[in-house]
Amino acid sequence: MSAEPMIDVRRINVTFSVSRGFMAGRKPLRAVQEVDLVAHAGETLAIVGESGSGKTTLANAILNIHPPTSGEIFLDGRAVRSLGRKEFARQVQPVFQDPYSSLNPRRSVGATIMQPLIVHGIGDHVEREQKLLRILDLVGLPRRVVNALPHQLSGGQRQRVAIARALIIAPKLLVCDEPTSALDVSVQAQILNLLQDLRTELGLTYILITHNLAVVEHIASRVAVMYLGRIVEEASVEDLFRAPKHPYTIALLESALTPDPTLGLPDLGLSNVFPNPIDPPSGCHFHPRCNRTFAPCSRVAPRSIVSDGHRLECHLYDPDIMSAHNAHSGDL
Amino acid sequence: MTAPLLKVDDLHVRIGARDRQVHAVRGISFEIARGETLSIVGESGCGKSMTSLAVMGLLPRTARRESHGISIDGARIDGLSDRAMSDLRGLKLAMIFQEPMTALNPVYTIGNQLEEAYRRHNPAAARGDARARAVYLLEKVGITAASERLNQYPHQLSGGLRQRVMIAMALMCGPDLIIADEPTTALDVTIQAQILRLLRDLQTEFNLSILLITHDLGIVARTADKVAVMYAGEFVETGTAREVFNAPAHPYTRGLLAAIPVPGKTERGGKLAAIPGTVPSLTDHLEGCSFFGRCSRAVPDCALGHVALTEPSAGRAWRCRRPYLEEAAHQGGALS
Repeated sequence: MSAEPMIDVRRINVTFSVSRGFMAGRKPLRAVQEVDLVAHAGETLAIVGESGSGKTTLANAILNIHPPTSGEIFLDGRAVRSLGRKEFARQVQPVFQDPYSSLNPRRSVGATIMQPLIVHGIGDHVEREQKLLRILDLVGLPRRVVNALPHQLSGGQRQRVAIARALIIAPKLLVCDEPTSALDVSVQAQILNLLQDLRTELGLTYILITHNLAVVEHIASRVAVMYLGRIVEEASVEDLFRAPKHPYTIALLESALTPDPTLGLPDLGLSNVFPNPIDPPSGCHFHPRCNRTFAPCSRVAPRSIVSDGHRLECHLYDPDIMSAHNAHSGDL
Repeated sequence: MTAPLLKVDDLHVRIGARDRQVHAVRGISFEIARGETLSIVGESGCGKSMTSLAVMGLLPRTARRESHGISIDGARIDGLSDRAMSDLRGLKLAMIFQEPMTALNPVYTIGNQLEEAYRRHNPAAARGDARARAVYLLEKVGITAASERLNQYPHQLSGGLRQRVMIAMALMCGPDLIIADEPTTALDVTIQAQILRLLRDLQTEFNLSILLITHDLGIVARTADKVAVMYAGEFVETGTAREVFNAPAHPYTRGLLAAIPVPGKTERGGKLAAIPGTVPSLTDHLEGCSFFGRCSRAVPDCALGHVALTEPSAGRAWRCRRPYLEEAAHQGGALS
């Protein structure tokens, strides 16, 4: 195993230019801001956050679908910018949320799964057939579905086809964007089991984009929490679930409704103010909704504090800010 | 307890023409008392949404409803004309749909849409009354600057705000029953928790009965008084939330609960218990148990005849010949 991380995201920004309407100028929307992330080989790195937090934009930047506006991404020690598109695709493959729309409805299952081999010019006809049959077994699809069209399959089978298509060229990294959100719970369990088995069998690295914290706890090893384009907290899964620190992470964990009829509904204490991503709040982006906000939050953007592999952006845990604040309140 | 607010007796819904008919809802009966929440939980295609539309009288044209009676406050509503049903909708029973973006009309302001139902049911009321009621309810559902919001269009609001508007709209005429079909599925988790709390607070304040349709067992456990687990058009298990979650008797209920990872309970990285197989086609006549073929406890007998509902006490029932009884009794005992 190389010492280089499988994927190393260094201070990337993704900025879109958004029209504000007829005759109005365009404004930058900073969908991903100053993001640092590392995933080592064999790890499952989860990125969680609400809609609009930039998690899918970050996934698209990692997938090189929409390269970052600034910053650099390294794959196994090599800058992604320097890699050719095909060379990159050989190593990194996506699995999308909705297997209904990510599969070509007019292409058979077999042709869909074999397509990457043709694109990359791998093997001859016979070898491709062999690879196809092997991958079908691996993802648990019966061989008879080879000639079926996507609409003839169930949702779970379709997601297996999407996974098989991603795996047939033996990539190292799989970027899964909400891989089970469109599925029923009994099918979600099958797909999560499959992803786990494939990771250990093939030594894959996963980046898992999801809003489902129960899924994160179950299969991920590290987790990064995003809010309005920034990673506000990042830690190992054990750490984050045992001792979440950022008020937003705490609210997220509390809102994961476990099936326990004795617990009732959580009171998050968050305000109903929703920030506009084009015009994000000053200081800490979360301060208008935060239940522990204090003076510096609206003025100063929190810096990144790292201790024991637990990284976070919150003034409450910044000793300098807190001592300055306490001294100041003492004066009054 | 007094007479139930909503009583549904042996409801069937059939969709499509004679030759390729889908029997989507296969004889379900339930009651909801005033101020109570009944949650129907099941996976996609089990018939839960058809059940809610059948009660509202909003089934698609190709679907037919049959029953031995649907009544609200003791008055039958299943025989009513479209016109008479439309007089009741909004007034006695109202619906909150899943996707507030598509359920709100994009070309009318929030105010127009809130006032419309009120004025439909109170033709004599002045415009100002409707507006005052709209402002009152928008404030109730936690929307600030309510009177300015009335002039906004749905696209100007976030998803959470839109769903609050939907809830305010459902309450405009003070209905007794709210049918909420996946009310928070399209929302972020923190917003979901806030909306569910809001619904619960409004329920207490206005003594509402709620029929909550969802696929999310977490929501059911945290909000419902009574639970009905639906599979292939039938209720396979019913009971109070504690009965169903602490001592599930039906193998399908057990399977659903085992399939979801629960932080702190499920072993991290361990195998989840997936339910093998797929839901049976509802076009055919189903012989035997509808869960036969996916059930780990099935015996050959399960494939024969119709499995009747076993009802050991009022409201507690399961449709299974080999239920998890000893374990159920044991866990139930430990709980009480």
